[in-house]
Amino acid sequence: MYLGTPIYTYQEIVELLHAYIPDISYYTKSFVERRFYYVCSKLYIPSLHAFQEKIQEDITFLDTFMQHFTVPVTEMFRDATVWKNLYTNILPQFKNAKQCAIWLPNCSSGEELYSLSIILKQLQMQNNTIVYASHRSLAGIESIKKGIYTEYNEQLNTLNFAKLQLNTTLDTFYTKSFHSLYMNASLLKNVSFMYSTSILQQIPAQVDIVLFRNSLLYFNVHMHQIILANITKHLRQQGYLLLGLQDNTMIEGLRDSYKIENKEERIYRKK
Amino acid sequence: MAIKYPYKAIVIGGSAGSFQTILHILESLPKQFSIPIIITLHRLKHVRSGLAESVSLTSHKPIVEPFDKQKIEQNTVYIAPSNYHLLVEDDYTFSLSTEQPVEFSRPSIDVLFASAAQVYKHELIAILLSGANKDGAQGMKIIKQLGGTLIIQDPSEAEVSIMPKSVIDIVRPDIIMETEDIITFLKNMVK
Repeated sequence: MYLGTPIYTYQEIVELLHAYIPDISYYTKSFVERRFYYVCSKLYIPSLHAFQEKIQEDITFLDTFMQHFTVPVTEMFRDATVWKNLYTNILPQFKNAKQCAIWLPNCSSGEELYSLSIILKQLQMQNNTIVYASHRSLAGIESIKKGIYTEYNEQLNTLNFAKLQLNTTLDTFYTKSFHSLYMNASLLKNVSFMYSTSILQQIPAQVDIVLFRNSLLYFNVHMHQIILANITKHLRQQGYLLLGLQDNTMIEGLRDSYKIENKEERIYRKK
Repeated sequence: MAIKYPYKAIVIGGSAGSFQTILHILESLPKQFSIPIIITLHRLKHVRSGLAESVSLTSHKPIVEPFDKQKIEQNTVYIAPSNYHLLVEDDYTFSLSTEQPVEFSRPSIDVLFASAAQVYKHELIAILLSGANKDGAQGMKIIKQLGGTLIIQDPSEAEVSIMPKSVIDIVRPDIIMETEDIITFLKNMVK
């Protein structure tokens, strides 16, 4: 993460990015600043001018930029009690349904998707479930499909997973080789990836569950209401919304459209 | 009772060996100490809560693990929630982040300090306590560059001295002192 005093003003960065990322102003000022510097240093872009040159000569650059601009999740089964709740209380309600649709509006680095897929497989619900996984970058989608994760977080992931007490271990869902974990490809067989150019994306369905944890953190407070309204529009009545544990609690529309199912785990149910 | 100095916020960072020190500082502050105190303490990732509760028991003030976009209030102590970076925004609200760990830490002291420095500039006091890595040093440097005041716990008193020492390596702290003196310093601010 970039910590120093900004080299360029926020205005300069946004003016440059706006032509390529129309919803850049939806993000918080401080996030845009630090993330822009972070991605530029990662991709060896030394200046705004270099960024502009790069984006004009390389048609894949914007996509790569967006892949890194999106904040990765860094661990599987983050907040294990939430996953336990999903496994024990929420998903079983749809076990005998003809179809259960789940949406991840910001799939980022895929750990949430794989965590979900693993518990769906454990519940034997892969055949009646469709998971819509939205992403801002095609390279990001390809990377998730490959399902290769570093062993760096293996211990943490394993520890998180053990808290679910599912009578199996996490390593049954991947193969380990050369310090990398290769997730079983069959985990994604019911996943439909959606490339989107905005957080206010549309998906071709009404869904039963939305997993949208820790994604609002990077958006302006006035956008929270608009993003939530877009999600609410796609969620069926009585459908579940899962927010991040520390996500804004005061989003306008949250109280009107949802009742609290579990305050601690930030699980909401559409009225 | 008015604050004599123009400080608007105090940020405190600590890791191994700093928990008791923080408790002691908080319980020693008078009720009328109104400046918001914002703390980032390295903690175990999978222990979700309990820290705010245990600190609350000994402090006169409400201790809060802020939610994203929560407003910073006077008379309140804030602690970074487990597994999130805590940042201060221009409009005196908090934001949280799940971006990558900094110096192997999330929450990271550097992240809090650097963001608070941009907002409070010379009106900020930063205190760095005992710890076993160098998270916080970079943040202290940025605070100094923007005019804030740096206090570090005397490394000879700190249970683990790596953290306060790593500050001295890259920037000159304004004051190096033991816990009791830090408390006296803070108390004198409201006399």
